[in-house]
Amino acid sequence: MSCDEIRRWVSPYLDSELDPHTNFEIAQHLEACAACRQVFEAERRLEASMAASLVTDPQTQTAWDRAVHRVLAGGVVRPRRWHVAVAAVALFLGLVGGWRGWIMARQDLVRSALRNHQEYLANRMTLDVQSSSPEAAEAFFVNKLPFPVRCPRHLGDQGIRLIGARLCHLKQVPVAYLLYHVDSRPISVFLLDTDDLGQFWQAAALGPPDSPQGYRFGRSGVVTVRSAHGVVCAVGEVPQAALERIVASYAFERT
Amino acid sequence: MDRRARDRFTELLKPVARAAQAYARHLAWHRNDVEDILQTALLNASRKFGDYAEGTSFKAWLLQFVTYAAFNANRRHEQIDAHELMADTEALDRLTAVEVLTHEVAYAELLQAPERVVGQLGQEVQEAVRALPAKRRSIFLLRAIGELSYREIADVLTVPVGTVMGELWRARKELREALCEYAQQRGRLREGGGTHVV
Repeated sequence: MSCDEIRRWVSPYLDSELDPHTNFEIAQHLEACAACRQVFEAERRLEASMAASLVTDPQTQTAWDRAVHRVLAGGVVRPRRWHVAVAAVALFLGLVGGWRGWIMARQDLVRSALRNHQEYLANRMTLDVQSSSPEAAEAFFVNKLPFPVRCPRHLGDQGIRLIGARLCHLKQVPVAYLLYHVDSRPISVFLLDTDDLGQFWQAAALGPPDSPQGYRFGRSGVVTVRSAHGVVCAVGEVPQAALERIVASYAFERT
Repeated sequence: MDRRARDRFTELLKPVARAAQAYARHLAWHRNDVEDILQTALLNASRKFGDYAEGTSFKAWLLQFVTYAAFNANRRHEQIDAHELMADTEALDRLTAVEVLTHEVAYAELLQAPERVVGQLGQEVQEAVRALPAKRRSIFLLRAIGELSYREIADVLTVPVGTVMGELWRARKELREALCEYAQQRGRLREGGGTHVV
């Protein structure tokens, strides 16, 4: 490699992020080339100087100490009993879902939603609007769908963060798509209108209104619930309880 | 969180405290948000501590919570979006200039005495970092302060490793460009003499 080519790798080389072969090649070049060696050394010092200038300060140290004290010493986070209840509900749903699993494995709505979610994971889908604001997401869907979209306001308090939204189609049916993150794991939420349910085979198998149905496909979970105005479907590689919280919040917003 | 988990959590916090503080401080748009960010991050991390896998990087795991808390806090300030949009657009317009940066004399002079120039421009370095778009800034800080690997940064921000590499490269270029501008404006270059490094 020439000096120009070698210098293109200065950042990943100094970060120890190169593959062994390239790393070796650069190391060899640096041994032989004083000018490049000087540039790499100066870059390392510059980076270290900048990092050293981005230190904490007494004010932030105090803020940290207070935060640690409040979280740990002041207010111990006690185990929440509703977790047990949610786990029990999830277990119950799992057991109930088991006997109808063979039906739901072919359920086209659930499968379509899962496929769409996997497309997002594979970076094949982009969001039309990127915002953590439920209002912004709702505004985006105005006049784009035949039904109003209402997003829950307090999911963020439970660590369920809205990332953005897009208009998408499940079997040519336009649906609202909302993306959330829980601990950096994406959750796809689909909102369908009641009038469109006829487009899906065995839509009746979604269960009675306000009764969430959960399914597992490998690591992916899917939870659906029928509300007064349609269906909410959440998909993600997260505990079923998180999906249930989301669909329940949406069902509540739409009633 | 039971007592045992709390003790373990507290123990793990100590060695990463300074990195978490510095990261929150430089990621937050407003100084007044730093304490909220830290408290939210610590509270959420303590609640999710059961999900932390022993043996993996606790620093990376914790900085993930700081990142979310900071991004959420920053979003509360409407002007940020406009600022970041502008920064993004400017960065695009500047690409050509950045490409030729390595050939500029100012850059060569900066490399002669990086500690001196950065030391004299401490405040400007922080401003330059703050001027980076949110994701780019976060990636740079996770590397510079958190010393996370590209893979760990990608996991924290749920972006591909290629994005981390690209954004880190842009961040460093933009910071060097800004440093050169600041240094030239303030006459901080050409004071040390010595040999050029290009």
